[in-house]
Amino acid sequence: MKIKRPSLKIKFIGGKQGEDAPLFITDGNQRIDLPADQTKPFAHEKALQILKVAPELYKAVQQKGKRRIYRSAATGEFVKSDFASANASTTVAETV
Amino acid sequence: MNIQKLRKRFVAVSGIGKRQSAMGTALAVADITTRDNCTIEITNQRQRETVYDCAGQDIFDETVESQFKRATITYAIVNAQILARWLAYFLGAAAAPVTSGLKKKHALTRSTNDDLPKTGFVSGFEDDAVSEAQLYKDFIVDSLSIQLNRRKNITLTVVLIGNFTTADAVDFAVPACANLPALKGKDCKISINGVDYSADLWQLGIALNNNVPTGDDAFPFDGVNVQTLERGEKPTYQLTPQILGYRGDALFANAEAEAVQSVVVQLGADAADRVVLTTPSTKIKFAGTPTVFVGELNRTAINLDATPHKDSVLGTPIKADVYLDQTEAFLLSV
Repeated sequence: MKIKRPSLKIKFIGGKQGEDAPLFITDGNQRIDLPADQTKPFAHEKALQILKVAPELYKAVQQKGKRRIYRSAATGEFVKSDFASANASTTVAETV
Repeated sequence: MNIQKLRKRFVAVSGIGKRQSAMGTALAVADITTRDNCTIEITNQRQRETVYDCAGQDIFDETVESQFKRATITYAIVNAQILARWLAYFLGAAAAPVTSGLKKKHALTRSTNDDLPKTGFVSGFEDDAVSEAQLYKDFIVDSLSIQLNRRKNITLTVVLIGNFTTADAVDFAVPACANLPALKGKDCKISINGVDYSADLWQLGIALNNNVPTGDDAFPFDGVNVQTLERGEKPTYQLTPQILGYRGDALFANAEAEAVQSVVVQLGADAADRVVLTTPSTKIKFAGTPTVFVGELNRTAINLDATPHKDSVLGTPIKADVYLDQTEAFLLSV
């Protein structure tokens, strides 16, 4: 069985008062650079960390494509994910 | 003897809140260019092992087992810039600033992995011919205590923990001390559950504590100097507002019901430099004495004990949005 982590795209949702997106975030002793153009959703290798450190500025976006079958951490059952939960969750999905 | 006077004492920091590139690598003195109007007390925290002779009577050796320094910086006068800087170090995560109206907005949140940014400072005495100013490194902010009193100056106490060893601040030029207009209680706002209580706020204490462990976890297995300074397992945040009012007020009922509500404290006037501290899910409770009499008129004030809980959106109990003229991000690495 192959363990796959769902790819994740995030989107800048701040700027309700016309503010631009930040170009980087410092988290502890680590700097996370962000793309200059954040008008569209973008993939980032530290997407989960960005969502955690700036939940009011970024949100996960739904992926297009096939929904994933994964084992629920809560029930142990195999269930079909919706895209939102698959994207936002840190749970490692199992392809079956 | 090289005797110094207290009034000549200074402490200088990175005004824009820079962080060290790594533990052990001190800030460059060129980055330490801001001298605040504050006092500093530095204490040595040294744990020793005392070894007695065979009879257990006389000491024949003492060895240092661990050592670090604790610095307490006290401000009788603060502005939003100073508050923001220490909050950035305390919380540990900062987004690069973006333009918001006439100000730059800095979003400060809690770092995700308990990492706390390391910083340093220079402290010494003005006009000291011997140039004994010392460069302190590897300091993290352990706690912040902000006190706001009606019609009085806001005060701030910052407790830092860092490396025991210091170095001569070579080529350091003592910056001029900035005389600041004080941020006062009247420049601030508080809202609870969306209701503005600023006009009735008598006093407010904000106590934020990272509870940084300084026991064995902070030290390497074979060394005496601190190696790991990070947020403790259970950081604490506490707001203690005292607001004029009594039974019959919505606030009194909220406290009676121990409702979980949003608290927003704005330190600084609208459109001016300001820090907006938000605890979106705060349990509003009575303090031990629910109401007290305050002022010369002995009016009733509701004594609250507000504990920020973890917020489902934020993922943490607290955040701060800061609006300043500062264009540089907080926590920039050297």
